[in-house]
Amino acid sequence: MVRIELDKVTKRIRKNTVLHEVTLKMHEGRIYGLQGVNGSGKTMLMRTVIGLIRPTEGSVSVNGRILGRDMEFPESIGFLLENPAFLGQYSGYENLNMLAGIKGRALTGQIKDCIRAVGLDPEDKKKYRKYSLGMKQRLGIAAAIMEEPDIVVLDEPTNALDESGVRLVQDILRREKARGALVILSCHDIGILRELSDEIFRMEAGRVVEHICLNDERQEEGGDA
Amino acid sequence: MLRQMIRMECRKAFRNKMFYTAVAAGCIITLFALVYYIGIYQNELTMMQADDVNPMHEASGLFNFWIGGEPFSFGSAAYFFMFPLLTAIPYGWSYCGEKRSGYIRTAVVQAGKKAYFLAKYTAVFLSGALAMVIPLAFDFLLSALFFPAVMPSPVYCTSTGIFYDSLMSMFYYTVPLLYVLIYLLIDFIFGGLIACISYAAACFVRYRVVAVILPLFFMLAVHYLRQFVYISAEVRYKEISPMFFLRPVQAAYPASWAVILAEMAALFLVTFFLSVIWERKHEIY
Repeated sequence: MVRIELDKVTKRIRKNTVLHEVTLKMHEGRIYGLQGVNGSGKTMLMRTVIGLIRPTEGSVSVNGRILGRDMEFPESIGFLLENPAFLGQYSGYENLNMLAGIKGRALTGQIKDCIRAVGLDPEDKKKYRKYSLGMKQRLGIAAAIMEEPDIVVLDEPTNALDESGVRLVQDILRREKARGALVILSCHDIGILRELSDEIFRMEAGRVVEHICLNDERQEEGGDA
Repeated sequence: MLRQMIRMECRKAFRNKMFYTAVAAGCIITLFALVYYIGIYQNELTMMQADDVNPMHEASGLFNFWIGGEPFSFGSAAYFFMFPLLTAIPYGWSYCGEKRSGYIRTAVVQAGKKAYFLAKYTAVFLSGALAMVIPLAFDFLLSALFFPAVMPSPVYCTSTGIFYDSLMSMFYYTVPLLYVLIYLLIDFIFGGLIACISYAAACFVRYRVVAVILPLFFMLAVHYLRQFVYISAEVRYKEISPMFFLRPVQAAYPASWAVILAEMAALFLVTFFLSVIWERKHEIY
């Protein structure tokens, strides 16, 4: 069972407090939406959960193990943060195959299935640098889910996608949830966020100001979950 | 994990156009030296055929006509001036690029910071080392097709450029091939370390071009220091500039193991500390 706990996480970068005493819990098999305007701290919160940045105060734990103390990064995590970034000189499949080769968790067939699942052709020899924005985004999503991670973090996954792409993302997220993954999602489209999420954390100026439970119609306002 | 990461980084380092470009550019530069010395050797052959002169066979051979054995040709001057650039071009820029594009995020979470930074250091080192040595080995082998591998004689030390106090002069006049191989090994290690300057610089600079050019400026700065070190005409100094002591021939002052090893150690410690230990402590945005 996967469980993420943020305990009074504060992150200061120079004099700016980008996260302010964020406390929340997340469980497997659920989709958590992060809602908020630009600069509200959604991406920073995601970076903290991934382990890319360390809280100035407080702690992030995954299954009871604290990031940065007991482990460097969560053992099983896939993510797409901001813009997808791959190596321009390789094709989509080559890029994913190379990344998968590090841990050796995803087999060739699995990688190809993932690429197909996002609407791309794994046999396409086109170099990544020649991909359109939408194709890059799709490949980024494929990279996030190819190893069937326990935690999936997607920052604006519908960026640059057309309608069919958005539907594809929705289907993928539902499948990930059904598989038992813990999904953290941020999206500017409130409609999509509400449709997909089981719970939504609304953020403002680095604080979680509202916690909305959608699937059991429970709503807590004004602070931590 | 580290082994897989090193394999992946090496694949990225060696299967890219920049590596091929740097090696090809290095090989082309060495051809200038070869063509120049083929002309010189033809003249010397003509002179050797004269009856009443000493043919001086030992003064004109492979070991002092290949690019590493002579300091006079344009090819030799250009190669040993440009090598910091040629070693950084293959892969020295990669960390800069991966940091800017955000690829580093995916790679470090997959592999862990330690494996990522160590693998990157290894790949940058190997790419720079090979980019330095392949053109030299290419020139040596190609030169061997044109010049006889006669055993050099210390009698003609003014032609060979290896004097009694030159580094490994004993090897040069007894087992010259071993001398060349040892020098290629020294150049291999220095080529790798100089490429790592580019990787270490990428911790501070944003642009790949700057990271690639920096090792050249660093080497020029060390070379410039010579005029402040070599102030007495009476002291027999040791060579401190890699632009000179990486040449298998003595270009100015004699090289010394102490200076070579000290500079090697300093370069390794500084680049390894900055790019692997110091950079590992930083957060990734």
